[in-house]
Amino acid sequence: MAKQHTTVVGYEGNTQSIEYAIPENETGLWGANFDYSIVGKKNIPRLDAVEKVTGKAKYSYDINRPNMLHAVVLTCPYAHAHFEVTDTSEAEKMPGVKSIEVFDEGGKGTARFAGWLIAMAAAETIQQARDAARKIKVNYKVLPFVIDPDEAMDDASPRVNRGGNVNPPEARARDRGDVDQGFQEAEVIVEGVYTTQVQTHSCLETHGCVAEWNGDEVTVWHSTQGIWSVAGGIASGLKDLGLQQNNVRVITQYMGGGFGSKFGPEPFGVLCALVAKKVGRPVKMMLDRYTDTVYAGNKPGSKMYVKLGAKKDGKLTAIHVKAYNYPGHSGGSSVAIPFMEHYDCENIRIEEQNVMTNAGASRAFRAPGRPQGSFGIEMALEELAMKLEMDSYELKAKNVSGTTYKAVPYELKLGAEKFGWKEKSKKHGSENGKIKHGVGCAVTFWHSTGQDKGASVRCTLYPDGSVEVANGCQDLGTGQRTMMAIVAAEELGIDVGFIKVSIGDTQLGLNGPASGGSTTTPTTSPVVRNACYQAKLKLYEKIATKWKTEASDIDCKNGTVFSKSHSDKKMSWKDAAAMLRNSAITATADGFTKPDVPGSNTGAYGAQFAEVEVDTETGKVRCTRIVAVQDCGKTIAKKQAESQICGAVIQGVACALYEDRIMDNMAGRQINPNMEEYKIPGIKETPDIETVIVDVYDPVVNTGGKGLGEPPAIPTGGAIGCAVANAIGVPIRDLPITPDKVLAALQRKEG
Amino acid sequence: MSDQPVGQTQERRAFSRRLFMKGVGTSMVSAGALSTGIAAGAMQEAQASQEENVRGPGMVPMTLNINGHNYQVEAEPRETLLEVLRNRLDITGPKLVCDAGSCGACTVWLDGNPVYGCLTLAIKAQGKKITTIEGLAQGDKLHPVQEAFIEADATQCGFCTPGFVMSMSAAYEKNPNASLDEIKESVSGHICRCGTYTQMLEAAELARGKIGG
Ligand code: FES
Ligand code: FES
Repeated sequence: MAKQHTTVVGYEGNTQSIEYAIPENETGLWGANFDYSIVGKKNIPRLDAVEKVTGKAKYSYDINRPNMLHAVVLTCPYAHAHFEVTDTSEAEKMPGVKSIEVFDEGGKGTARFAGWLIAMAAAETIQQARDAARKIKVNYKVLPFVIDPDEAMDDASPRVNRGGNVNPPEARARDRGDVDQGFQEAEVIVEGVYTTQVQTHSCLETHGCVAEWNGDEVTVWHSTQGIWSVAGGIASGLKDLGLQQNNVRVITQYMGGGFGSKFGPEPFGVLCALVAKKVGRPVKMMLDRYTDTVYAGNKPGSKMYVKLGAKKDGKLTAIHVKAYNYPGHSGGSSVAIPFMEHYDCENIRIEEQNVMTNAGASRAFRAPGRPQGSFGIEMALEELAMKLEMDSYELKAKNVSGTTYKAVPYELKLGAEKFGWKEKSKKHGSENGKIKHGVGCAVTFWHSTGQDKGASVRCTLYPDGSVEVANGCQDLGTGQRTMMAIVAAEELGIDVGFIKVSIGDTQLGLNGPASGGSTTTPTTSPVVRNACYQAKLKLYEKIATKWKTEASDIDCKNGTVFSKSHSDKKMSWKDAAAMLRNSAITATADGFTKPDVPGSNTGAYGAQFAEVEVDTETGKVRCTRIVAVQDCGKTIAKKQAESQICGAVIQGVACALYEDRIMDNMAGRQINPNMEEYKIPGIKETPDIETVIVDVYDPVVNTGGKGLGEPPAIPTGGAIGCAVANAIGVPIRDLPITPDKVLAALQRKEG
Repeated sequence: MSDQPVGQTQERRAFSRRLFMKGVGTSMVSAGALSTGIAAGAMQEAQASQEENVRGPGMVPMTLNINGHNYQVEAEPRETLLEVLRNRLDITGPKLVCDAGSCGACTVWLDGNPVYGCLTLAIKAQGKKITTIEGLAQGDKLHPVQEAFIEADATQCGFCTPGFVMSMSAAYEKNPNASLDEIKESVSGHICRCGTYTQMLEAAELARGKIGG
């Protein structure tokens, strides 16, 4: 049975009332008119903060099991080679060694980058395992390789894989409208080639796991963004041993950063479990920093040939992009969305290809393809503004439009006000003096689609008033536990202190989403609500009998359960729960129903403003200030959301100014596979960041929550790039913007 | 076939680094303090001292005073303090991240001074008071920096947190009124991949309010 509801949606200055229907056992939207007591308030501490600041939080890396062995992997030092493990006997005889295993059948295969996994040694101590790994004999037949993507495109270059290096051989094209017509209508055209670097994820906790068997059952503590995909992968990887997934338990209570690089069991996860079985002892294998950096993923670089057509007033008429993405030896990427969706343009053509090289494979990295594409479109628009001698904010504002659920014009305007754009903006390159200041802005967009069948949540109410909310998801540091507790507390009308959140364990038997694509909040939060709603109705039924009323007449707010019709009938949450005596109430909700409301969308939008200081003598750029305006639908955990936005911005600063995987094209290896020469910003590189969170009430899910991990990580690089162009009057089209590039650009400008 | 690479670049560095550490004892946490000149001198010193007082290879008994308790432990002389804490004593608050003195996640105090646990040989930490993040609170009473980290939400994944907290709290222990610039300096040898610096700066201000006079 569906039930009709009404609610108010939209954002400040643009709201409307809507009607919608959802099934009776699900709860309706909170919406803009709801009297929130906990959701969206700032003062809720992270649920696991005490564990984190006292060192009690146990990450996979911290799991020490009795009798545990330590393992290390051996990787190929060559960018391209046939290899064969010829002799492991010496390694096996080394002190403390319990196992030497190879990754590929027969210990042979073809390594396609320096860092290819070859073998794993397990010993009593990590030192012994390292000693042993060095004694494994491997024959290498070194093959020709190619590292530089421009070179790789040449037909005469060595082939990275079977097939050609350019994939697909004919560019994939995405078209909207008529791009030729669009350019004909244009009164001004700008063209530029923009490139972005490869960045490594450099998660502080490397990839790896601990595996332990108990009879036929294996438990794996895995540093992962998806416990279920790990469990499935371990089961299928060891099915020859007769392992089934009902005997695999994966646990991730704390996780030291993933950013898109930690899905799946990994070959060493399967091997750990295998060795643990064979030796009959638990095995820990966490990658060392070098291997993690070269093996465990990166954000692909890109080269974008961009051509924009516009009217003299700055309105876009056509966008044409030819893009090459650089995913290493496998994987692929796309920079298309920011060109197609960030600004309004009727005529677009995007052609894309991947160029393969003998380098580590790319993986998803916080908004795959988006920071790259954003840099391309924002810089091209900046150059258009320069050519038209227009204010770039005015130009950008002219090319965005909104709806009730798409607040980007509002957010751009709000950001400009908070930032003080009017006072700070000046003509490109107009400032005199050694230190030049500049400002830039950029917009963002991300579809954070909740999976309506992606989560099962169990809510248990105990007689002492305490509550457990459980789901098979994991918390990477986003504040997932806190978000779930806030939603549950709001739905139940009680304090967060009553709620315990259980996640990160497949043995809960509750399906949960992998933490990726900024989908965890929209996938889990509506189901948390539904489970709490169903559980509390069961409790209310008991109370209704006592009060001689209906469960639907009962509600709970700020810890007081009351009758809506008879205000004298009330009791505390604890007293209400005590009516359960020795039993508990459990309700499990599987997924949620998406309210069918026209125009509702899963997009999270925002705008960022950057201020930079460029030292024209040293070429050094400092980002001094960022204003980040962001919505994630209705923000649930406000304090944690702010932290996440700041973190995304800092990663954007890193992309704009610092991080760069540097390869030695002759040797075929990364020059900086560490945290010393690969520059991750520290506290001194952190700009002053102001976050402005906008609530956009969208009936997309019953909490109105959308994902936040990715959207604010998209526009920062572009905003900073534009600010640098504004400061020095010439665009730097190549990320990261390092002093050498600044000095070269200034020289070009003068000469 | 010569030696195979096991995190190979790092291994080679690790060798010279540890030899170096043998010579100079433990390193203070501070960015970019070593010049090659000093390192070369220390290497010679290390080699000289190695000849007169050889211990290991193989297990050596050690006594480590950690968070007020004496631990008897057997470990190889090449094992870092961080490795012994984490792998032999299950004290896992200090984290292993770069193993090369670049990130600060392994920071512990030696006699109240923050050091990188990954650049400190366990054997050399004997006779000193070692404090890890687990020993920072007084029973249930958190250190004001820990409280401030909670209030400011200065943790995301939290993997860097023990290191930052140890350095920041050491700075305030030395100077309860340390300025924000001094605090920035004290944690400038640390990396937070989640980018939680803004909240850590907020925590620094909150902590000064709790500690400062
Ligand atoms: S692990 Fe010691 S500084 Fe990084
Ligand atoms: S909170 Fe994740 S590395 Fe600092």
